[in-house]
Amino acid sequence: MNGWMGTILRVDLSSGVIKREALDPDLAFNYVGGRGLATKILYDELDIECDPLSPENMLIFANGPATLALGLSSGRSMVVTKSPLTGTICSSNAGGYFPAAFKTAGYDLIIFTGRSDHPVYLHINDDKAVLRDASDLWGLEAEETDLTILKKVNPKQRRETKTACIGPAGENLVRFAGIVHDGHRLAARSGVGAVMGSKNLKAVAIRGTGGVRVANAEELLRATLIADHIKTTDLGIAFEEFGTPLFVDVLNAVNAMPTKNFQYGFFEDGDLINGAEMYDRTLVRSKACYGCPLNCGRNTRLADDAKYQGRGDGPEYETLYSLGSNLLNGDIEAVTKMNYICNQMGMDAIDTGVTLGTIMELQEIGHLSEAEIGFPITWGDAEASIRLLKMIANAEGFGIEAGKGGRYLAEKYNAPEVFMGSKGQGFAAYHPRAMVGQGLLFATSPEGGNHTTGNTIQQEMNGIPTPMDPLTAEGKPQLVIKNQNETAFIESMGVCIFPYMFLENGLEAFTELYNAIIGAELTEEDTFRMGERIFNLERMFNYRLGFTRKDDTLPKRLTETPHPEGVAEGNVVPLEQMLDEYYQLRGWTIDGIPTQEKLETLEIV
Amino acid sequence: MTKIIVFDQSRCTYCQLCTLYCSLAFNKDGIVEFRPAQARIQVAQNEDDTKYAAHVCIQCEEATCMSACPVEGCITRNPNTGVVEINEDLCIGCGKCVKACEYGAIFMVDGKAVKCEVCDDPLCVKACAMQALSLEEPNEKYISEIKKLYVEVPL
Repeated sequence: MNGWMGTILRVDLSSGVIKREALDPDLAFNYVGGRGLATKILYDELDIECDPLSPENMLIFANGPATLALGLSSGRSMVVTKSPLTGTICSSNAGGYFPAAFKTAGYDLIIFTGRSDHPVYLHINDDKAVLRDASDLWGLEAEETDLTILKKVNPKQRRETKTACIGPAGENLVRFAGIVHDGHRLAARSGVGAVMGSKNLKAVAIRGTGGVRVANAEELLRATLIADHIKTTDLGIAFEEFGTPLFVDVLNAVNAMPTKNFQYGFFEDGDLINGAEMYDRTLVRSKACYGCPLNCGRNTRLADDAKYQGRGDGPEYETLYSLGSNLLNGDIEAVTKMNYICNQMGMDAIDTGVTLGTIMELQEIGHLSEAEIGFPITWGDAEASIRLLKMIANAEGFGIEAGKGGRYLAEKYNAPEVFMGSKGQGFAAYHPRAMVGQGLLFATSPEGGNHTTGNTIQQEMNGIPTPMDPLTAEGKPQLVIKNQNETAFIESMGVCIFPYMFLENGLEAFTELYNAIIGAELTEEDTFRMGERIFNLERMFNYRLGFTRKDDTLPKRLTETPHPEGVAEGNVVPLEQMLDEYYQLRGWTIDGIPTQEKLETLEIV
Repeated sequence: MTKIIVFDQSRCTYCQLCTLYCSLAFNKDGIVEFRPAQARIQVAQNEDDTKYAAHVCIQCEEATCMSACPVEGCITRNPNTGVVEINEDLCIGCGKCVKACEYGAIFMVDGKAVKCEVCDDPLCVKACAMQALSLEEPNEKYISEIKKLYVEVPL
């Protein structure tokens, strides 16, 4: 096969039995790979009502057909499972170097079922796969886990061996624990790390020496021209210099930078935590994921004489919001330190920040006492934040409750309206009152407040391909559907959504590249339809669990409380109006349920 | 002077596109694939992730690989280009040249030793979005610095 490796590895952690299975080519063609293909397998095989942290849940590591088969941001793999944070289907993806090893070892998917009775890690060396004891790794932070595993590997194979692991947060079932690639980069969202922890699976270490076949290598070389084009646009140039932190200035300028738990859309200390500040104070060098020309990664270090010490990756823009503006924390060194701790503990920095924001507001409005937490935690208090986030990761004291997430806390303390997320997952870094399409996107995302199941920033904020008013409902249902379907396809391919976002017609470019990889003659309509199929399948997964319109919600703060400042002053998200049109355009009922006709058109059975 | 693949470590982002694309140039038996393990350029990072080094043959004037090779005529210098070449048919896969190269620029692929033999229009150079690689005649300063880097940041 071109693109796909043709092999699925099934690992039953209860029995220790490991089996290889051939990939069904029709299934792969229809559901692409990664997010799409893994969701289809869960849809068909999972006991859908299962507790996400029970042995019955399935945890799927998934490559796409383009993973490593394309020199354009395709060093990505995904983790797909039923989320313990939202109770929905979820797909959490990450780059780094692990996906390249995973793919060259010869697998499209690794499907974990059951639960081991003691800590283990899966060690794969091309076609050899063995479960090994991980008792000595349990409790270790991410980088230490990575290094400890690598020390056990034959020195000649060490450089080529890459790991994905959980940190203490995943072991302790923190509902927003992630899975860490190469000791530093996270498949962060939706609590995939807690599912891994619940299975007593500490890590997956892989070395691969195989190749990924492609249909037309000559055609694929055009990816270098696309990369050159992206890198010479204004945004591309800024992206190379500042990475994702450049968005602090972009979003702050239009009052869309979520601040103080989304009470505001402008952070007055924004210029203390932006890309330029990081460039001057913490950046060692920019760093790319495997096979990516965009190098948005930030390799950073805190100076020896700074208040905090450490080194690592990031923070990314999302973290500068979640642990920065969202908490009124304008200290870049503190945000960086908190980011390092999240990464090393294996915890999603976005939901960590949203949870801290929930706690700070609950305490401010008198619903949560200092005594319950053990100490005061007020807006902007970095010391208390650091203390609390370690307690969350290590499941100590109030950290045990906090580790269940912002929605849980807000409900427990009788102020559900202070949790800033959808379906239990905290929002990514875009204030929906200042870009209402993003609000619709968050409300309808299969996994809640996520920024990779679609992202409206290019059109709503940067006017690409055509300018659009970010404050009104007009055209937003169409925009969101386009984004959701296209990114479902792009992600399932195994490609990062950045180059897609930066191109005027990203789907066209990636459809052509996809054809060159797998040897097909698909049109944009075809790949759009594949994305739509995947998105509808995710919707059906959730619908089978009872999710409908009643769950496609946003906090009242976004739909009822007017935006306080700037260009978006007075604005709210007209969610219900957008939802009516959105469902109609999707071919769903007014309650947000895909119709039989729609499912038949998409050949979902 | 011999043209070689020159590496500017200050521009490298450890993306390994050079490795990925280089591998395309060495496909065999009609198979078209990206296979990083068969590439003739491999990138290393140092322990604290502050330095990256794309290991690729610098076509040494005093080539230790040549003297280490036990097979007569297997590793030779092309008199026209100055490039050190390995005769795949003669290579017995003993790995002595790999060990002899202190710059980590010879690799074992499927039982044979392989190295960069400088393509006419190198895909690694074309692939590098950061222009960290170029095909040129190096000066002595470059050669002494890159040797240091390869030893400091080994594969």
